[in-house]
Amino acid sequence: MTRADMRRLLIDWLDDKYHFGDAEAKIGDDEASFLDRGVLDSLGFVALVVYLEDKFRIKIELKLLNRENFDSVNKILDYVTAHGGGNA
Amino acid sequence: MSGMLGGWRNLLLVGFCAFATVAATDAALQTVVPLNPLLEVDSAILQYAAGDPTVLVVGSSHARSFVALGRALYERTHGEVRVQSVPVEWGKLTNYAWVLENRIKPLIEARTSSGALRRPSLRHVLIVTEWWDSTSQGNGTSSITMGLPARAWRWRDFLADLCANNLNNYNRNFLQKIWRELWPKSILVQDRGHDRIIEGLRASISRKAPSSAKDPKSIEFWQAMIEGGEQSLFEPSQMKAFDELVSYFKGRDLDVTLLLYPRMPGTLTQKAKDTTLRQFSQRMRAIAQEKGIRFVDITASSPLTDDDFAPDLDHVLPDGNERLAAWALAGDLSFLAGAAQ
Amino acid sequence: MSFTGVEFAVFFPTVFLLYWVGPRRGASGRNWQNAILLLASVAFYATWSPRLLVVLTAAVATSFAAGVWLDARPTEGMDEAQAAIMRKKRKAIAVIAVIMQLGFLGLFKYAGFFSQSLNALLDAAGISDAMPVLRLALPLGISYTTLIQVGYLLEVYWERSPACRDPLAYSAFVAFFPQLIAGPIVRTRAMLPQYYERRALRTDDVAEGAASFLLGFAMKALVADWLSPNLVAPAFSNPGAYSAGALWIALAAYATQLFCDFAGYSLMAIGTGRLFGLTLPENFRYPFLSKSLPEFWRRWHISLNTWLFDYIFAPLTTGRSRFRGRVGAGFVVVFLASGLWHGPTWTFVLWGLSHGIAMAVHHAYDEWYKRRCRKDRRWVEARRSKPYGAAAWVLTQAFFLLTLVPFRSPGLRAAADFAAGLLGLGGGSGRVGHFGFMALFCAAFMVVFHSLQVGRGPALMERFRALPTPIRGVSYGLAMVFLLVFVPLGASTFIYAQF
Repeated sequence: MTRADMRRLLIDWLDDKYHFGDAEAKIGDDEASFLDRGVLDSLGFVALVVYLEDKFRIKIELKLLNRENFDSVNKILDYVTAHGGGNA
Repeated sequence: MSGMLGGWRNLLLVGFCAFATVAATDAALQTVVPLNPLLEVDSAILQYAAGDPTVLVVGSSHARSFVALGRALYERTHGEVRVQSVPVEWGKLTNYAWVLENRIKPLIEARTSSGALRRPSLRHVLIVTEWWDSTSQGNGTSSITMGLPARAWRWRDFLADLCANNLNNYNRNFLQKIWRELWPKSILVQDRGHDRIIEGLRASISRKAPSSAKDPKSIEFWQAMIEGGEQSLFEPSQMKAFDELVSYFKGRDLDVTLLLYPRMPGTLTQKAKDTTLRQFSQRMRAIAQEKGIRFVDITASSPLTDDDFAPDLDHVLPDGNERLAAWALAGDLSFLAGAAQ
Repeated sequence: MSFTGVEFAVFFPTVFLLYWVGPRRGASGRNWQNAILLLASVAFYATWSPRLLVVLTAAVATSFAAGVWLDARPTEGMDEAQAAIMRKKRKAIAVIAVIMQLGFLGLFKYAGFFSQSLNALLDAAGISDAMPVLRLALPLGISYTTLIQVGYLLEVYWERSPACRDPLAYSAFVAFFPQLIAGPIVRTRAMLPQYYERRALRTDDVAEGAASFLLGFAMKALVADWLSPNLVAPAFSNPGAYSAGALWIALAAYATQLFCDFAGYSLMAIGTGRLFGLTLPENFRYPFLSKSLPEFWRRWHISLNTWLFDYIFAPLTTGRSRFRGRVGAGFVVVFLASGLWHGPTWTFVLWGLSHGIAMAVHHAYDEWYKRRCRKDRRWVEARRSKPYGAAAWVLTQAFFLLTLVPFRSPGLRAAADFAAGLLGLGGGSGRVGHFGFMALFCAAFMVVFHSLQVGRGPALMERFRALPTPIRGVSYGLAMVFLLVFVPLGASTFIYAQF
């Protein structure tokens, strides 16, 4: 799976769960903070972790289970890629 | 650097303007509500130390009512009779005994280098009390306010209590006293708890004298409290303290009078008169007779009306104190006019 | 000692001066500042309960030692067999250290409750007074310092944060006196590093710190302390005597009192922290503007709720247990914990359970609504509409208000009586007293305070900040005069100090 594919899945999930087609507009750019732009609240973060683990068959260690590590599109994709998620 | 200095300069200017505003407002408020320093244990002790009174008045905040009596006697006797009131906020006989033991006794017993008493003129003692003083220390309202005996302490008393009981609402009153002493010229500090500023501003704005009408709910509260006092009279530690007071003064051959002071008529129901006040009066009269001390009960028999009392329904207003003094000196306390002899 | 007591007017300037006159550079500057803060905190604590300083010292010593041990034994770089053994050892030490911290809290706060409750159960079964009921004086701030230290231990165990190796810095971090009485609950990663450097005195820290303190003081000493004896306490101590209308007013007054007491304290704590160059976390963000319960809990007691979220909810619902993905169940667990944290009584348990269930219900509703949104975009627009927002606001605030009945009531029966009274079933007809200038002022204060966050409010605040310096100074001076005239005399404790 390419990075673009993973990105598409992530955006689709955000649209499906939270933004109903407005996710791209809400995010702005892939470096922007989800927290600052109101893309995901704390509950959404929990749902995101479960989604990423289930969808990309990765394990998110407790060590890294905090919002700062998943606070932008690029951070999420970097983590997933680094933990073998591109093979989902 | 200049940006930083600009920042500090601005900050200091804001602070300066803020405090200048407080000071200016304080001064302006004093034109509407003048400072009215109340006699407290500390100031009374200082007065005692500087003088040589012939009459000592010990009591709660109501002992302040006898300052007018003292002035009247001083004028009448051309200074032969000198009255010193020592008012202990919140009352209670145990607190009078504490103040006697720790603050007054050293002055009574102080001697010169030749061994003579430094202040030999004391002849009479008035113990000014009421039923409340015989109830336990904890009895009263659940919210502790400014009026507490901790204000009679010195630093060593406060520190000892602090070590024993940590900082609490009771001993904090000592700190509030110290704080007030640091700002004697500030009405904003001195008025805390008295609400004279609010009343004064209200009267000033409406151009009417403050109303003497009393709050009906407060009257009900006082009536209920006095009626209920019957259940709590004559707490042993309070009565023991009273014994100690009288024994000490009698031991020094002083003429002792036990005086039950006036209450606002509107707060005294017939039930209160028949129960709490009667029980207290009868028992204290019996004790006075037993101890050979004079007993005067003017709780309900003084000429004071409700209008003579402050909005707190408890303390007598200055004009009322003058009338009370004149009446008492013409009657039950007339013996004090001869106190110089 | 209390922020609103006269003694603080002497204590704080003394500590402030000593803090800033020390060495200006490097380790000695940092150590001087941390030492002054620690000494001040010990003195502050001692004015409440000097004997229980021993408990705080023991707690700090054990969490510090456990952190150092854990940090000295990372599993990275080890072969798998060694790493597995070390992981077990690390887990054991972490568990023991956390249990010790919770044990201190459990012993002092909950032992009496559990033994009393057990006795009540056994009594119902005909066995009376089987368990001795332990009643111990609650060490000041133990609910707060325990969470700070448990959070620290978990951060070190999970290797999210290195352990602190400086006992002075660590002790100051845990025991910092502004946060002792009622929080905010500080977090390791945001707060601890601040103690590793010497703090510099900056104008914005002084200006904003003083402004925060003044606002917090007004909220606590003026609004909260007036409302409590005049509108709240009489109704809650005898609800049967009051009419339904009076009880609703008392309930609204209590919400205001609770907010102003707690948020006011937090602002004073944060302001004091700023004056020492330390940034404590925000603890309240205008909760009465919330239009949903989750939003409310993101705005009320933020430090506690983020702590519960980060250390209980998130690991629970993202882990491998039966709670994985089960957000609703996670809410019930978290809010039950929150209820118990507030106090060892059934009323707090009821309060926590209510909010847990309500959050779960809201989550289920949210998921249902989102399914509608996926099918038809008009549902999205409806949710953004003003009527929807207004209804959501009313529901959210009404729910919070109603749950304050058990929160404030002395027991379940009293809570039931109050609730019955709200519905007009209490039989009382009394009206609230003292509904004059101060009551209106308190109401106006709340409206203005929240209004400054919406619409043109922020622009108005900016205009005030842009006013010439003398005018701002005079404004602050007049505010201080107002407080000196209207703040009731007589210290009262902070509500959240009892938790």
